Amino acid sequence: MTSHPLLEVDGLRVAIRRQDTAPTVLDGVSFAVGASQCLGIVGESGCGKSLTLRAVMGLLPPGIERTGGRIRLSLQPGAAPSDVQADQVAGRGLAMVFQDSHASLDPTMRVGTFIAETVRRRGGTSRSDARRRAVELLASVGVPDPKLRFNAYPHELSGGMRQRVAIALALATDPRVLLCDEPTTALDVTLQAQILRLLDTARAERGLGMVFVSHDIAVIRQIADVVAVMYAGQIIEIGPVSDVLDRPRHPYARALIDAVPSLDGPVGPFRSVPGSPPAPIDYGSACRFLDRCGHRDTACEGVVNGIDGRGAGHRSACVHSGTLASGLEAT
Amino acid sequence: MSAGRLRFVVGRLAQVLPVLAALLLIVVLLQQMMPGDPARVIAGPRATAEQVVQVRHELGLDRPVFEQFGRHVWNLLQGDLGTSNRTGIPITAIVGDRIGVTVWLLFGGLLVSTLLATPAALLMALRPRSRSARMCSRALTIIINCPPFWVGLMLASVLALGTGWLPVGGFGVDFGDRVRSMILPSLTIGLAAMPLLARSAAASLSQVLTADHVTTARSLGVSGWPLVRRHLLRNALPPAITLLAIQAAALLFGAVIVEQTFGLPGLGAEMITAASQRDFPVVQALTLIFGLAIIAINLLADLAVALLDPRTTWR
Repeated sequence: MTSHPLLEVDGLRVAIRRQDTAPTVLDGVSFAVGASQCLGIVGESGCGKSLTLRAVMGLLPPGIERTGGRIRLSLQPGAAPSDVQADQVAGRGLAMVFQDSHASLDPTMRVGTFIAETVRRRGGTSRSDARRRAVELLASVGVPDPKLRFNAYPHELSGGMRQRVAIALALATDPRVLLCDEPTTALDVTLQAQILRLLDTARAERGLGMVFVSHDIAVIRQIADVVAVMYAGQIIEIGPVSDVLDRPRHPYARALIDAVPSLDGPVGPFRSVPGSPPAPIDYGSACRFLDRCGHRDTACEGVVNGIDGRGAGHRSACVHSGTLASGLEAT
Repeated sequence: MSAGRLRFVVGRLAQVLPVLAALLLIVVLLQQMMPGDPARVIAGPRATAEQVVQVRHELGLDRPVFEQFGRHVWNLLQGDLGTSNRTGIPITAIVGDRIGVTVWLLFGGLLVSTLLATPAALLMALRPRSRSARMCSRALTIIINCPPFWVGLMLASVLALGTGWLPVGGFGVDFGDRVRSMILPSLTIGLAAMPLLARSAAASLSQVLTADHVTTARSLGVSGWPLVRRHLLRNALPPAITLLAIQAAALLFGAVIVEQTFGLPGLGAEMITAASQRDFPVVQALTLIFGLAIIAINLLADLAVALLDPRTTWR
């Protein structure tokens, strides 16, 4: 972190719009990503990982709305991040790679045409230059025979190839920050490694900022520099990858990481986090992990906020993190 | 054209042949199945049994069915639809006189239903929870339950009798009269076809609106008209086209009723007259024409879908 961050999210709040109530599903999520830096976000299903990316992109599903928070994006190299509207950043500084490459590419468009059109949307490119650029992009993401594949439809490509195309599409917008929503989850392990390497190369070569959402802790360990653990719409722990994954401070982070079966550990039943997260309508001001936590006491029932992920260092939202840190490590 | 699409086009064209054969067979067998004896009808009520046998022999009705079928197909291939039992007029001439009315009626109906269904579908797809969308949906349910002949009569009594602007029935002589006489029938047919069209278009639009690939396109900065044209319509149209083609039969049936209701000299009205007079050759020829029209419409629809959706392949 030498200069300005590329993307800064400050107090993002998102709510479900209902007739009488508006339950908050993202409650003051803040984080920052610098050039060539990758922020990983982990958490179980429904904790708001993907929703965070959608909200930043301005692509929330119908019925869900951003109710607060600011998004700042550095639009020029070296420039300080400035406030942007959520509906202005998609394809103009921010791009996204989705989980399901089968559903996320338009079935009626040739992949090369789609990439070329995306290149042209930025303006100042002739049709033939855009085509050439599209072939280059296909080659750069490791699509063999890019000239031939230019004319392919998504259904004519394999899953791994489609995800490469999806990445080429995102890169065609020349983004400053790339948001990745579980881009490797639908792929087998060999392909997963290839796609991760590809993303890592793009990040290094282009100085991309990256936010990488996954529930796969092994993947996060491989790609991210900093990891944020989300629970019930808040960031509850953040820090450098090795610190958080090896020495988690929040009881939820500990339980989540413990649930990953290990190859060299003792053979036994799979561990899981007992219970399930509260529904957004039941989010209160107290710690949201309270009901599932083995360390709860009266202090947990006071006001417990998510943490501001913009600062440096390893931090946890747990009121006991100071006293628990050493104890948790021992278990 | 990709190999899969080419295979689809060839396969789909080949599929028409057995359907055509089946249609012809049914049309010829229709004569065997219909009550009443065409020979008796032609010979007249006072003919003797011998005369009836004579007429039956002249018409070739005493021949085996296969022979009749062969002869019928042979005549058709030469463009001969036969002659009317009642008037002796060649059926090709009758069809030529009347097909225009039916075709214009169908176009009018299609125009009305498209004009009414498009805004309804957009409203229900884009603002599904709004009051107006819910009211629209209820109105469609009511309309779809109204039989076309009743709607026709209501329109005639309210719009034509009530105001005197439009004719209640019949087909005028000059162009202006003819256009005016098509308005109520087109409205009737259009209203009958509209609810299903609106609902299916709304369903396929709202499905495409939330489709992942549309989110992807938006994430790349595609918005406004390019998003609608390149990503929404192209994906939402095929199911709507298919449904419209399936509805073609209902639309044609509606035309038969509506022509009768409004006294329009089209193929449908002719069909009813011919059937009531046991004019079998005319009924046969018109059944064949309606069948051919439905086959052609479905073929065109499937080819259009194949053109729009590159995933089309012959299964």
